[in-house]
Amino acid sequence: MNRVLVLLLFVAPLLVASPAHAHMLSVSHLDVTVGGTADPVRLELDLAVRDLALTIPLDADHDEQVTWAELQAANPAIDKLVARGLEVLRGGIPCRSRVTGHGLRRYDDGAYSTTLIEAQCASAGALSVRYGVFFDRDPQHRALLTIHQPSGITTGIAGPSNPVVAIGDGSWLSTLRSFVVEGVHHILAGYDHLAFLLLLLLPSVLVRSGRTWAPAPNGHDTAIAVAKVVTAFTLAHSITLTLATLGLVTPAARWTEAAIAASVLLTALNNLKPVVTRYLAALAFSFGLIHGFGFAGALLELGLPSGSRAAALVGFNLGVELGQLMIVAPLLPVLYVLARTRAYRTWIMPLISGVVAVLAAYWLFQRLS
Amino acid sequence: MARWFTGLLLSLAMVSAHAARPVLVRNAAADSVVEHLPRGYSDLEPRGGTLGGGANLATVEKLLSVSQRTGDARLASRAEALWLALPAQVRATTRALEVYSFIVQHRHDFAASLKILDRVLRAEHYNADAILARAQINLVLGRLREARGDCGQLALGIDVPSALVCVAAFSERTGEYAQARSLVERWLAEPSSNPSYRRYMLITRGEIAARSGESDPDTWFRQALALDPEDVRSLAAYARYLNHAHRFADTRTLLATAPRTDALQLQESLAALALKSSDSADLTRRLAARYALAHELGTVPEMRDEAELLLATGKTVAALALAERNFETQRDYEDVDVLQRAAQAAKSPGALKRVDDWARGESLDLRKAGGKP
Repeated sequence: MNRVLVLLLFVAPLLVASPAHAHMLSVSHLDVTVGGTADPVRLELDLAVRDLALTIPLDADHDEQVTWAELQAANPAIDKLVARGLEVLRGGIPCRSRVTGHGLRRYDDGAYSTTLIEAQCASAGALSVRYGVFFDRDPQHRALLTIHQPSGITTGIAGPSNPVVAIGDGSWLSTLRSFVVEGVHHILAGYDHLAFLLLLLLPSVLVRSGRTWAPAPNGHDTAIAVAKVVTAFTLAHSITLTLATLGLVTPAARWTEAAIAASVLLTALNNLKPVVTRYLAALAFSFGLIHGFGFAGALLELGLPSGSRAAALVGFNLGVELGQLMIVAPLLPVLYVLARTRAYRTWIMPLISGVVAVLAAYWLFQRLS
Repeated sequence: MARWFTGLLLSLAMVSAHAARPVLVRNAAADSVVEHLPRGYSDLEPRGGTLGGGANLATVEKLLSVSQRTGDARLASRAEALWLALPAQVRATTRALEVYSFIVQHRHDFAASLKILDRVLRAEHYNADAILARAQINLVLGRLREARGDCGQLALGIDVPSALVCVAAFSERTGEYAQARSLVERWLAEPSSNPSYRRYMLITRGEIAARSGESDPDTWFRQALALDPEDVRSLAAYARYLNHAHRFADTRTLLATAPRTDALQLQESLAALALKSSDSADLTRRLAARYALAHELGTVPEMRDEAELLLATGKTVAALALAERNFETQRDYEDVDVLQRAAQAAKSPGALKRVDDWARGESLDLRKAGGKP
């Protein structure tokens, strides 16, 4: 067959003036029912028969008609798929799940195979669901969650960039509490954010005197200067964290991570060869905007509970601030005392900045390649 | 049914984007059919633990082909995931790049698609398929000068069949219906064993007939459907024509057993609204819920179609806003048409001026091209 005409098989669809763009998205429906802490969590997962037919041998005779018998025969394979792609956790510990039944539902866009599951969980801790069925084959696939709790019904969406959906007890206070913890955890585990914070603090106990460093004249002025820098950083990352979490701005994760590494590198280099010696708060603000996008990525991975997004956002922000305070508060007096020594000004501060600069350069290279 | 009531139902649909739970069926007759899979699925079903056809470029093309025919976007999404998993040396081939340009175009990322085609053409200056694809994207984007240049390149001897198709599409878009008709009929007169490509040319002929006021456009659409009665592209084009001709009852008949894709549901909803059918509210509510779900999931439904639904249900301001947003990225015949109708309904001369300015810049006579001044 003529190559042109063969390829036009695929080009030709492009040529239809008004293509019938499909937009029949692949979705699954997951119902989660939470009772008391001693009660098992009950789940009903509806997976589209069309998605299953593309994933497991469902249409046994390949006649493009899936019968009830074929669906029943495929239940073991469906159970395996579900076991690999669905997990309930309480307090970070996976619950013990078992399949209790199967069925069928007819939605507007076709038939769905239903798997009924019971999960026995640890008695304490925040509940969450991790979903990942089909993500490796279809990055556009989404799970629509409906969560039934004594306090009410909430909804959520799980996707490849946010596979975990947090389930609070439905109250804004519990959501706020759990996300404060997550915020603290994220800043303390975020080595690049910590490095940036450290690099801001290292010269904050010094002042530039000509081409040399001198110790800051007094603790009060030092504390004010540090407060300005940290506040600027906090304000900036809160802004971009909020914008990105609400989906108003969505920078690519790869470039965000690389930009964060670049901000650490530039700040380290500035400590070694001071270019920006005044308006450090402005520098912290500018780079803080970038770090906020990084925090947003982590927050979205946790999954925002649909009914209390504001509480989750505020809580996570508060947690990040608390975590920062946990670093700054003990470190600042130590640095202030050390800054009185010549060693700190001549080699301790430059050495630490140099080591971090090398690490940041490595992170930048890693994140870009 | 009163527009306000339909509008209220649509607002409720937006709130209830998460589908209400259907009844759970625990038992059925063993041989009862729970799902009719679209034609072509059997080639894609896994066999022996691996994807039907294997993880290769041919399978990607099969997924895309069935996706286009059936309107099932999950297949295009799977095609993209599979393409990205191909070995680097395969992805770098011309054929693979052409396929990928089509994949990203499917997501309306026309800029990315053009970049990929440019890459193909840097390696193969006289690649007729890539030039033709680029011409079509330029037509959709409303870059008529660039499209004319692409067709000119093909007509200068690179590839005659491609040139015929290109110039016919360009002529149709610019309202040169006599020329377009002649070119398409010349192509149709040549025997072709490629039903998919022939289907496209028959649809084009039907659209030319409809836009130029010929007496029987149906003949061409029916011939296209005779090749494949289930092809959603043919069904959508024919339904659009029938609705435009106010033959709403014929639209309902045509789509009575059609697949439930968004594009076909739109045409059915528009027909039902025009006929004031008892199921019009239900149809429009379900379609609005699908659009709302798409928004909630962070994808963008076809903005032009969503604007059409809003216009038909009396939400003229929202329709105009969406039509204007759509116009920023798509300026094909239907995109311009819905914007003009929305602008007139919302009494917004500013929006009409924007269309006129664009048309003037591209030397397009909107009166000839079917546009309304």
